[in-house]
Amino acid sequence: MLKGVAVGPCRKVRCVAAAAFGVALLLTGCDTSNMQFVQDRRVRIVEPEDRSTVTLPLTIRWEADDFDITGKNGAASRDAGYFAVFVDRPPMPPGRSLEWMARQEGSCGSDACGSVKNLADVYTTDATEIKLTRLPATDERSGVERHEAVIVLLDGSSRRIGESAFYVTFNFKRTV
Amino acid sequence: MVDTTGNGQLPTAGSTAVLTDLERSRQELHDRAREQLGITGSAEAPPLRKVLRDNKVSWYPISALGALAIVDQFQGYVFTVLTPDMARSLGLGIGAIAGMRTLQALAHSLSPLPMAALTQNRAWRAALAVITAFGWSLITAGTGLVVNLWGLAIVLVSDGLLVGSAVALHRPLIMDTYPPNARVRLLAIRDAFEISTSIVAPLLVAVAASVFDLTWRGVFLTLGGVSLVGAIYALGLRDPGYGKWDTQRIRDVVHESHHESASSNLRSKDVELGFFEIMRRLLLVPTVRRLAFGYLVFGILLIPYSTFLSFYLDERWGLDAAERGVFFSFTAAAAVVSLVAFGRKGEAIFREDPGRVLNVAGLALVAAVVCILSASLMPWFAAMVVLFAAAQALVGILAPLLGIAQLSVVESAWRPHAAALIGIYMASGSLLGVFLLTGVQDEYGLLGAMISLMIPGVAGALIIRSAKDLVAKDLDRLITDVVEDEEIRRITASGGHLPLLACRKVDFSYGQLQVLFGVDFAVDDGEMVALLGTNGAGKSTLLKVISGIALPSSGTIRFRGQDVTYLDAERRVKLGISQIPGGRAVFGTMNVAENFRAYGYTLGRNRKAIDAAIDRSFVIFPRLYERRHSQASTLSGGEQQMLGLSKALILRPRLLLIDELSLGLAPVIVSQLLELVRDINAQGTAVVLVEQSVNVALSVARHAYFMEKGEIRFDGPSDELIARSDLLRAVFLEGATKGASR
Repeated sequence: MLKGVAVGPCRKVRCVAAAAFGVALLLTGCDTSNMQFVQDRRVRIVEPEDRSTVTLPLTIRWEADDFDITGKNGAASRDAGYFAVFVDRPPMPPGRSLEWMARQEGSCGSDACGSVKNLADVYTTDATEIKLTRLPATDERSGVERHEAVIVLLDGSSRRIGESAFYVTFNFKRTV
Repeated sequence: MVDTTGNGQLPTAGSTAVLTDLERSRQELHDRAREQLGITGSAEAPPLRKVLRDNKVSWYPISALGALAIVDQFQGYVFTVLTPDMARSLGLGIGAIAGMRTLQALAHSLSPLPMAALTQNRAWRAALAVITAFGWSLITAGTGLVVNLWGLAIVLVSDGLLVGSAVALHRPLIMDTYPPNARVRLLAIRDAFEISTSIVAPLLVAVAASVFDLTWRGVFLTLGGVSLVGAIYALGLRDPGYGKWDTQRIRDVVHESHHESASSNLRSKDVELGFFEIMRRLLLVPTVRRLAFGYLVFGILLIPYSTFLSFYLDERWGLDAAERGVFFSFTAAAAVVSLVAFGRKGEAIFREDPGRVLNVAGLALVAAVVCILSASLMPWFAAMVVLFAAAQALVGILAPLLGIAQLSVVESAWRPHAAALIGIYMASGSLLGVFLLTGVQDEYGLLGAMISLMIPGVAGALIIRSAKDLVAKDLDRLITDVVEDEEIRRITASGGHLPLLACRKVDFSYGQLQVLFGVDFAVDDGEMVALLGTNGAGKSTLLKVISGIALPSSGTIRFRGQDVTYLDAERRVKLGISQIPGGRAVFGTMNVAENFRAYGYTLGRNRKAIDAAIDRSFVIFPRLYERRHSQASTLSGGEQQMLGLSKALILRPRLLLIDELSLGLAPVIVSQLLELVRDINAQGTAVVLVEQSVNVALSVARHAYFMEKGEIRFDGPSDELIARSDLLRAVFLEGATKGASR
């Protein structure tokens, strides 16, 4: 079809092999079960309003549909469990647990390191709201900080369910 | 076979007549060639539809390239918009993703280079453009299947590598597909398609995310599919070959003037330039060099401008991502309209005076900068939007104007390289701009950074405008080179005789210091020529230019009828040009035998041939045999010159350039060496002997050139030079006359 391009059988085989290698590389570690192609609308954040300016203490509130809030009961279900809120930090990858995330933090020379309890700016709850009394400082020089809270779903064994992530951004003016 | 009718022979009357004939017909051909390139001096551009119909070319190639220009940026665009969503769903930090984007940008800026290299010996640009389009379409779709950072790295770098084809190949393809009097408009249309990405991509993302409720994965898959449709549409693209509408037309003009039909396939593989030779050659074209620098400075403005504008709209006007998308779509639409509307005017300007397009480009850039400044300070939202749209419209028309100026002065087969150069300089400028403007932002805030964009904008405009006088000259130089090349081929094909070496109008500068001025110099097969002149006259420089150690800023050097002007020195050695530099032309730390082996390196792996040549040298120089294990630096001056001369015995060149053979040697040694030079010449090697000692040079050569202050002041029989006391008096008249009377 393409003028001037002579592709011999050997070359074709090499091309196909290279393409196959590329695809294989691309899909390395692919866990298609967690892939999500359509938006998940099970959680809707109702407070604070997106891009609004907030004060401390700050309440983040949301509504959840088609998700049973069972808390950390050890069960691995995609439709039941509890919530984790991450403030100004990315959540763990799909299928990973909070414990895994804590282990990734590395050693800080203290026994407390590696513990879920000591994950900074990560909150878990089996309610549909949390109250924050502090926000991590940013290096924003204009005085108005922009923060983001991301809510993910955890199953009963504290593993992240799928790729769903629900977020809200808000501004905060630090006074001290 | 080499003509060995005797040493010191003069160029034949036939070859001189050929050169004179060439000069006479050149101007007439040149004027006709300019017409063929669409430079008519008239500020009129016929309707595009009529031009395409008259020349029997269709709309399909531009529409196919346009489709590719829209879809090639899909992955990058969607990535920019959806990075936060990807980070949240994959659990990755923005910093890690930004690092991968940097890798992609690096791959994107470098990838036009291999694309250019892939097409330099074969006209398969269309096929490569389509293949890479399929590649980036699959990569775009594949991005929707990524699950970790490494997957992201692979898709981003792959995409960066593949979309380089659009930079390197699309515009050169347009230049070769369409006739010269339609190119500005078609380049403008192609750029309009490219800018349309900013309208089409947000629309598709909005539809995929809002109407079909897709995640970032779904959006990538959708846009990959759309991109695939574009690639399939482009399957019918065919490469028109190199220079169909320009260099080939000029060649046709040459043949028409002699009432002949054009012959084809005259290119010689031996003298085709390699990738780096082409890049080096391009940077010696004044327009290309100046515009490359202009792109570098303009690049400081362009990419950081888009980035800072996003932040500015967010902070100053509180626009969220969707609103910013609408803003950028609106400004892109303004650019599309301006490109389509301006195309015909740009065409007319180019036809009237090619250099004027750069004048207009410079003014457009200054006007754009003023609009950006006014918009940044504007307190009214609507006025701000209108001013930024006007700036985008003005910046938009720069691409076809700069493109036509830069690509027109370059031979068609090298246009992908020229386009790649633009990409590299622009990317370098952008990188510089990001660093500089981030510093400015830290110090003076976002508004300060926006305002500081004025500086590179105005500087870039001045540089671009300063190239306006170079375009016409470079275009004329291109025409002259092609005309001469074709004339030479025509003469060669018809059995005409050409000199072994012919230098025409050679200029050379060391930086800003020009040392050769329009040097014409010819050597016939088997001839012995003396090149004389005062100290600093440019003799050694001329030898360097002939042997390829130095490259001329203009002019041509032909060897055996082929243009070798920009060929690497080592390739010229293989063609049969060898130089023995002035002073001691030996590798001092190696012994004599090792020096011989080093000279034989260019004979390749043929060890037997090298051994035979070394044996032959030892027979001629028994003294060197005795000292074969001695380090070369410990040899006497005469022995070192013998060793240098043995290079000619080993390589057996067609042309031997000897610089200052007698320097610092005793007369008896000089006499022995001259005898050897005569022997080498008698075996068929043409010799150029550069000497300050007139009596030495004229004792062996009957044809002499005399150089003074970088110009040839005398070209003729040696006896006549002796009679020219006006030339010789100042430096060495006494020695010369004594030498001649001996």
